[in-house]
Amino acid sequence: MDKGKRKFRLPKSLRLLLIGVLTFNLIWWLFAVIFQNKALPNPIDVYAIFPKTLSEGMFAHAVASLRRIIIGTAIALFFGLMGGLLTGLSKRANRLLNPLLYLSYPVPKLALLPVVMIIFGIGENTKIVMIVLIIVFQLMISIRDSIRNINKENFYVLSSLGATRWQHICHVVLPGILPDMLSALRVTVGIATSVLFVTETFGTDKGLGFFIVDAWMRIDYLTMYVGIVMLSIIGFSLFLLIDVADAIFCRWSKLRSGH
Amino acid sequence: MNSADNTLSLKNLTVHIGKTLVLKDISFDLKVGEIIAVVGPSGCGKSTLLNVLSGVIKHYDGSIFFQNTSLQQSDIRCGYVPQNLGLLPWKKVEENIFLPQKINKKNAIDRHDVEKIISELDISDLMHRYPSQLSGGQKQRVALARVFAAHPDLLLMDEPFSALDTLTAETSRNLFIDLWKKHRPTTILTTHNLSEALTLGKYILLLRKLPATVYHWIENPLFDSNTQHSEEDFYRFVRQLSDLLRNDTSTNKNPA
Repeated sequence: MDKGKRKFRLPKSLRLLLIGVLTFNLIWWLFAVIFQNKALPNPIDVYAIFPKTLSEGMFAHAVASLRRIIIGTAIALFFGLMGGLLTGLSKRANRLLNPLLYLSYPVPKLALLPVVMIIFGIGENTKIVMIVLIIVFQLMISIRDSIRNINKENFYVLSSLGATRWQHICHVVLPGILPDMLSALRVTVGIATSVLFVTETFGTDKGLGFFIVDAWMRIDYLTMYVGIVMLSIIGFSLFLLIDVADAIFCRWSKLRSGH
Repeated sequence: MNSADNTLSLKNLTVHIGKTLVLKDISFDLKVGEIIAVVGPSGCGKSTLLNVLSGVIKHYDGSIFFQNTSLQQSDIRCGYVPQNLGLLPWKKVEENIFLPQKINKKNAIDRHDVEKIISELDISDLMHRYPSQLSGGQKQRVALARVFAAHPDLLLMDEPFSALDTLTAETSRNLFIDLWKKHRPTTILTTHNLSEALTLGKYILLLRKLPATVYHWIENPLFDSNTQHSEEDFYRFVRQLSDLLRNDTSTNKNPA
């Protein structure tokens, strides 16, 4: 029987995710019961007002946040991929860009927020630029290192067949880096969500960052927690989406010989 | 040495990698449709020689002609089996076998031919598996199917059986010999196994250590011969080759 047709990783991942969500809520509930503090409401109360809050305006905030994450991550992925391909495939480009990457990677980009605000204003662009700035270097470095780890003999086979540079990229580089790229994307989406929260606390009246801080200022802790849960759901959904892509497109990297 | 019509002809091939001289003045003529085993110590430049012939290394001094046309200008079909076999792990067995055709139309593959080769190699059941799901011997057979399916004019194999256990290596060698006799591509294979060189190579080229230079060219009297040779003969030749490698004192005896 062909093993390649039997294995599929997702159901196990879903089971683990479900267990994780249940455990997290159980711990939250336990702390809420033990501490009996208004700043830590019972999750049951939070989930009870979730549908009403969502229909009464939170949905628009969620859409605004999701839009920023998707646009920011997509732009960062594009430039990260281009930069990663350039530095991973060309030693000369890597020699030129590596010092820049090395210096810029550890700089806390969130500290550049005032500079970005001066250049791009306090509107939508600043929020997206901040996401791009913070995750693009991480993606670029992961992709470059992943290209370097591809077995050189895979390139040799294509060269001997007379492959063009573009064919090397399509048949070896892109499929070879996909698992690492998705892993890096998983990490950076989490970072992008955190950055988004900070950038949505100013210069906007749309977005979950604004929604959470607004509820916090009104000392409406239940609504504040609904916002936090919504932002977490967005983060989880994106995470899950990447997991699904990984299970579909990178199945080869999870399979092991049965011999 | 003349670049005769029907030969693969290397003349004074010299290759530097960075500042290191890896191959120096390698010259030999090999008739089209024949097979040569290149033997030498590890790291002597055997793989570099194959990388030059396969077009991976494009900068070299000297000349390489295949049937009187410079290798860089010729449109020959080249099949290359590197040490790790070069099966792309993200492509299924079937996609790997049809890869040469997908990359270059000159490597057109006839489906009927492929089916025959697949059946001879007994890998029909593996077509929808990924390479990571195969054993070493199965991977080896898939790699053989890929190169022979594209009917290469020039077949290059870099220590193709070195990663296999003794029994699997012997089976794979026999499968290779059977296929080779049917298709007879001009073949250069490298090995550090003297018995393997004597089993597979019509000619044996001994390379001296870095920089690699030819220091012995031997016509293998045991290859494809009608005369029955005893096991004693075989091991006598193995010992002779082994002595030559150890002594490294003989002069270049290229018959061309």
